[in-house]
Amino acid sequence: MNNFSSIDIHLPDKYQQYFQTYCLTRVEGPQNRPEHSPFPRMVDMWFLALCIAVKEGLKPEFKVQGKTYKPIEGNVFGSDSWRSNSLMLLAVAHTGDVKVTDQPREMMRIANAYALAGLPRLIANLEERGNGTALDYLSDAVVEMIG
Amino acid sequence: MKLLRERIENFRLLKEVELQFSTDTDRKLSVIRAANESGKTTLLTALQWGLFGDKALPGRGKNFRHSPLDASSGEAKSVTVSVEIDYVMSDLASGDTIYRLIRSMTETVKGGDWKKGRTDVCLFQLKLTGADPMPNPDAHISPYLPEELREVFFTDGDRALSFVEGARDDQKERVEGAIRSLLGLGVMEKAHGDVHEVELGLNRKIKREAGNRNDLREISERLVSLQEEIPQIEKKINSFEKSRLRLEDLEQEADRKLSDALRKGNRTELEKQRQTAIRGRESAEKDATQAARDHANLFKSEFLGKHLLAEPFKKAKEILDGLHRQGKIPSQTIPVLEDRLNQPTCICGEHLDPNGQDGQKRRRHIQHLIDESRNSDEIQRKVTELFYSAQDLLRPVAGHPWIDEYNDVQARRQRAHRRSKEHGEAERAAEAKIADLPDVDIQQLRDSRSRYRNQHRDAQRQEMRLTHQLESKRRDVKDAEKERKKLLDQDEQGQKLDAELEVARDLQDILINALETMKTRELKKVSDHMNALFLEMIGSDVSQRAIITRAEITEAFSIVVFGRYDQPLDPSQDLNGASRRALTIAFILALTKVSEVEAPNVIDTPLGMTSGYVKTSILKIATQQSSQLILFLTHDEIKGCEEILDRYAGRVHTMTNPAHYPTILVNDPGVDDTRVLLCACNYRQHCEICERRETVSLEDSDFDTPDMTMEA
Amino acid sequence: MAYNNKKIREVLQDQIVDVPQRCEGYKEEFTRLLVNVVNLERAHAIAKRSVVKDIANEVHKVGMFLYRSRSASDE
Repeated sequence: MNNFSSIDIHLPDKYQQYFQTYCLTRVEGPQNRPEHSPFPRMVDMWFLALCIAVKEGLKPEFKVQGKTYKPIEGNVFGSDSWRSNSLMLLAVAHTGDVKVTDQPREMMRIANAYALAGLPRLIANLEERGNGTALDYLSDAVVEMIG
Repeated sequence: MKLLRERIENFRLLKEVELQFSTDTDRKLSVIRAANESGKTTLLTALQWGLFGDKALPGRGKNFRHSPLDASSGEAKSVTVSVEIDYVMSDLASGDTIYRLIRSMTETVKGGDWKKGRTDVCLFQLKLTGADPMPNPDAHISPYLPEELREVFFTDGDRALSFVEGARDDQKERVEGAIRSLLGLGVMEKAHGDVHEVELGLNRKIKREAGNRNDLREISERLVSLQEEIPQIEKKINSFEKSRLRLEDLEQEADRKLSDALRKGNRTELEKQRQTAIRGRESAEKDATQAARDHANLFKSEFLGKHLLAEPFKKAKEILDGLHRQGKIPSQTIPVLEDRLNQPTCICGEHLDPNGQDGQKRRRHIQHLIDESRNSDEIQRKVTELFYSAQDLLRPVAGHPWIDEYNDVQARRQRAHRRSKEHGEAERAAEAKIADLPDVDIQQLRDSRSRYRNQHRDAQRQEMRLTHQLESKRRDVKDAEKERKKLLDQDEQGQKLDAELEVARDLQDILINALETMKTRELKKVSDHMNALFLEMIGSDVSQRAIITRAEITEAFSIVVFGRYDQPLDPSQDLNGASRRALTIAFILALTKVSEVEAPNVIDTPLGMTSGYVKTSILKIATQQSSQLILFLTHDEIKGCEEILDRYAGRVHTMTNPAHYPTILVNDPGVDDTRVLLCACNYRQHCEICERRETVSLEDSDFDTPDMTMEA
Repeated sequence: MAYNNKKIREVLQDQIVDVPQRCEGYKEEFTRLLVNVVNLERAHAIAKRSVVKDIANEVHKVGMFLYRSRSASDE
């Protein structure tokens, strides 16, 4: 069951270009290679940003400033039940109250706050890759984070 | 014979040049130092014209202009060209005799046209008392320096290479020509042929005088016919031998081309290899892309989420576990309470009698609990569902499964990349080989090799067939001669003729044997001597000595070189430029040495393409082996040889072309016309005429431009 | 000595040994003949005249010498 099916994710416009660059679904032509665009879908990038923020203990960013756009629709979580559960667990942990599980918008607000906190870090990492591929550079960063 | 002096007037660039040559037995070398385009070739030509006349000129003098090009003007003018040569003949009996040979001719020139006049040649014997004219000058010089030896004694380094370079039958012809001339084989063969003619004449006489003796006439007719037939067969054998050699060359050439092409690869085979490499590369690239996709998929892996979100998951788990412990998870309150309302007693053991006051109170409480639970049911249902469905997420992660997966996929990607690289390299290598393939197909090369092979075998078969035929005819001649002898012995006239025939036969036998001896024994001497000189010349040229073990002149007059394990090498292919030059000069020196002909060796630019040890050793050995050596050397050839020249050079002149000012020459020679200037500077000196700029030297680059005066 | 005459004479001299002594003095006559033939060829090379006839005359002379010697020894 997808608690978030009707809840879309909104992000500030400034992230739009990065999602387009690093997500395979949005890239066309010869650059459409996992080495350059390591995220199969946009939700993967968003979710990894969220995870990074959590892992790094970054303060969730609840304020969304400026214009936003909608890169991800909530129904994507229908195919990933573990992600949907993760968002719920994160919300429970964040609020300390299971009542939040009955408030999908609040849970998504919390999740997005973490993602917004993690995105600058994730993007900075990808942009620093220099001559390396985004895929490998990001992998190194992740290995360092969990190793 | 030794040359003493040469004076040239109006011979093209050489308007007035007088050279002295060394006859000192200890310092046998005379050097003419001259840059390219400074009259070396003209000097060589003038010397030969002086000694041999027009037949020594390019194209035997046809269309050859002797006089300087700038002698022409609008008006018709006569120019006298002359070459004066002093030479000495030494004889044990009469000692040294000095001669002066003067060849001159007057050319009428007007604009670009010229007309030759008559050539005059006169010879004088120079005595203390004066000059005695000698009759028939050409005949006088011919026995000492015959025209056929001209190209052996007067040569240039490049031309001499034709003894070992070019088509094999041409090489063979040139080598054979030189050997025949120098060893006098031509004279012997001519004598043999003439004696054979005498024998034929005797035969014809016998036939004529046979009268009514039919048996004698028949046998004589038979002999005449056989003796006429034999030279024709010999001629045919010779012609087939020539074609066999040429076809053998062509076959070898075709075989070499085929081997080269096969070594470089068969186009079809290479294309197959390229296609295999392309398929391999494409498959590896596909694998690499798939591995990269799998790699990217790791960023959405549950393991990664569990790792990174471990902290909040732990916290949520504590909360959920608490609820579970409290029995709030799973949500079972309502069914239990509803069930109790149907029972007489509560869980705690109190009665639930609806008729009793206490019972009613208790039942109302249970109903209240049921209603309250119903309000929080939705939350509880979700929490319960979360609790159970997130068990996997909530279980702690053992080890580093994400890193394990990452390592696996990384290794897959590397393997795929490596394969792709290897196949890519193989593809490029095949492409390069294909691009490098000569523009012929292998089959065509095979066909031409097989065609030449068949023609070669055919010529060989014909040659063998004719050789057998010749042997059989010779046996027939012997039998017929025996028969004839018997018949001739029957009367006096016959006995006389038979005696003459015997003498003619003895003469022919001795000439044939002598020829055979010269061809074998003397040829072997030349061959051995050439080998010794050649190996000495290339002595410490490591790169060549490692592959060359010996050189030889075969009985078929080919110069061949052998490598390790007695493998024959092709001088024009397997030897470097310096070794080829050393080989030809060794051949010329060996030939003149063995022939015991005392004549000057005059060589233009003998050291081109040589350097270091080989260069100095060619110079040293050539000087030691010659009775008189005259070399025309460029400044570049002289470089590094100064000490040897110090030791052996008896005379040195420098020729300078004023047209080289100011590019090469330092000083303006102040000459208005086109001419070569001569000075007495040796190889270490320079004067105002010949001083050159240090940095600009045309011949320092290792090419020889033909003498411009000969190009016209 | 003129150019390769020395070499030719040397080689011919070696070969003379094998010429049969057909009669008394034959070898000597023959050697003279051989020298004459070579000289005739040399002269011919310079003078460009027919040499076969000259050689035929020389051969005839030695042939007659041989015939006479044989006849004399037969008698």
